[in-house]
Amino acid sequence: MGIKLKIRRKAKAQASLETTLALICVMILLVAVLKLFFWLTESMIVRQKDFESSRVSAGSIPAGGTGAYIDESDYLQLDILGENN
Amino acid sequence: MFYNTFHKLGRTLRRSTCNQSGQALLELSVFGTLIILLIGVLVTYGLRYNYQQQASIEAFRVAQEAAQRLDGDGLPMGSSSVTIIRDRHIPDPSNPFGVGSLTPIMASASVTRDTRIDATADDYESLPKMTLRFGLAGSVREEEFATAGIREETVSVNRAEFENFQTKYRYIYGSVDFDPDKWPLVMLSTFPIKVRIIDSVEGEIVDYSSAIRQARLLVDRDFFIQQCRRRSSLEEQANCGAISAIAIPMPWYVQGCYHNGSPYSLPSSFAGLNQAGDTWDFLEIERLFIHPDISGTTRNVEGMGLQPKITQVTEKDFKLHKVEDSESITTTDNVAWSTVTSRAIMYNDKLNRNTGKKIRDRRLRTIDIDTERSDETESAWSTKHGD
Repeated sequence: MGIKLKIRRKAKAQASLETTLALICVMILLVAVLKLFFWLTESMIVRQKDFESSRVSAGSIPAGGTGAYIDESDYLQLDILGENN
Repeated sequence: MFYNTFHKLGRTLRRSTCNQSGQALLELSVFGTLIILLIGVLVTYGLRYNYQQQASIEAFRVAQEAAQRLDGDGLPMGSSSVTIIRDRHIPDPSNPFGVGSLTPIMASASVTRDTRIDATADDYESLPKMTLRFGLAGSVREEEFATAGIREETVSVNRAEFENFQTKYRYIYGSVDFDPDKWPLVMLSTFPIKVRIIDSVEGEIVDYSSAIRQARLLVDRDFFIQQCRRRSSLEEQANCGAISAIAIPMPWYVQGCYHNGSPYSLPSSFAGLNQAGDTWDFLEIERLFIHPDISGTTRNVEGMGLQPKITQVTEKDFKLHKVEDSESITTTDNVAWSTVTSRAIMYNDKLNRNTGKKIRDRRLRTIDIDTERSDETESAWSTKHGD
């Protein structure tokens, strides 16, 4: 009985340790995925919104005038690891 | 008895703990690698869709602006077609540092303004054009080619058939202008009229299948009637036979053709042959797609415009700089790469760039487009002795 309990405790401790390590890695990867999706949202959906909202003004440009290009300088940049990287 | 117990206990302990730790570590390494691979794939797809959307939106806006450009008469062009090609740096899981991995992003857009939809070009500037734009802001290269040319012919037409005459021209060529200045004041039964045709086969970029189809419409009455019925209402279909019987001048690219394998001499004005199941070969159109090779021979070209063959040459320069002294070791890693992507555009240099009319039948030319992307990364680390 005592020997079986010892075996079970060793097994639980091993599993807990490895679960902790795995969760750390998974959380890092999850943060990277979330940053990617936020950037995609900002870039693609906001760009589509800006494109559709400027449709009338772009189609009304006078003959020989310049078109209404979308200014993306304020868009969020993809930066997964940090600003210095 | 005690030996057996301890022996069994040792075996059980070893089996249970060793198997469990081995199993978990193995699963962690396998799934961790897969998850990292998945992240790489997500980044690649995300970047690609983002750049594709950006290129599509910009192509439409550039086409819109080009359609508003003024022609030689001070009127808006009315239509334009733009293709944007960019080589974007997109890392992939097999190349995590992205050295030299360039992916071509292409987008096309065409714009036609309603107010100019019936306008007919009268000089090179107002001809329909295809614009190819390469590169990013700051290093953009643009090439423009006319997709049709102007051809004028004077035709003698029967007044009773004038409406069918106009319909036949429009069915075959699309954009046609009948010069009203030549309409006689006295209503003669037969009178000459000047016709200005915007012919796609006369353009600097010609599509092979469209050219063959147009040539068949000119010489094959069966084919003309079949196409006429497809685009007409039930009431108009009865008139397709009468329209096909109108004789019109034959352009240069149907001359010297072959009918059922034998040379066929076309009259200057022809309504077409009415034979079922016949075949036509147009040598002048085939000759449009023959290019002189570097070796002095000639070769057939699959099509004009942007060629499908792309060549990428990547140069990589790896430098490892290591400085070791009594206190530390400093290592600097420098990776510099540049990729040159080479493309070719083939076009027929045959139009006068003022009048839009042809000055020669054919001269197939190639324009080489080279775009270069380069990048450099440097990383340094230092280790102190005793660390």
